[in-house]
Amino acid sequence: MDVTKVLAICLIAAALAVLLKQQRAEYALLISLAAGVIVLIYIISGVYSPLLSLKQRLDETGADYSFFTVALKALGIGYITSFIADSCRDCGESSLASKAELAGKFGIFILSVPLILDILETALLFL
Amino acid sequence: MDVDFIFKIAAIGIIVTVLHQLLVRSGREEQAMLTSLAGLVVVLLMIVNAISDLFVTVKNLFGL
Repeated sequence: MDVTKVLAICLIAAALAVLLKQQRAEYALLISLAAGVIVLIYIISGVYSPLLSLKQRLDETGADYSFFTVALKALGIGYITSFIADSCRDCGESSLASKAELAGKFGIFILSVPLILDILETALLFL
Repeated sequence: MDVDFIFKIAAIGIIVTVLHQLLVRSGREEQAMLTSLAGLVVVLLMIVNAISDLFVTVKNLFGL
């Protein structure tokens, strides 16, 4: 996960986007979207191996780690939602961006409902 | 799938802009509009493929 490579890509894309902003505004958005996709794929490929080793270690312990999978899914949803919302905000569509973020929040909330129920049940046991 | 992907899109954008100016100056506004539309469609198709790759990798990694 070479950070400098990511920074270089973002700088180049920003420069090209500004270059194209005067005549053709839509290409500025497309260039920033393309750069965002490349950077995100690069980051994800960097995160992949440590995450897999973490999962294997949790498997070995044999404990029920459903909380970990829910947290991972929430992370994925947040990851994608912030990417799309920022792209929308980039081209001036702040209302679309807030809609995307709202969808992401609801998605994460729906994911966490079973966990909340588990916590409630264990809490009720003590009462 | 790297920096040359960004350069490809920027190159298409520049070419379409030049073509648009060329055609507008020579009095063919319709062709100018069509060429800029064609350029936009080509770039959008490339980006849609890249975004679908991104969504597939995210789905696999985070188990969505």
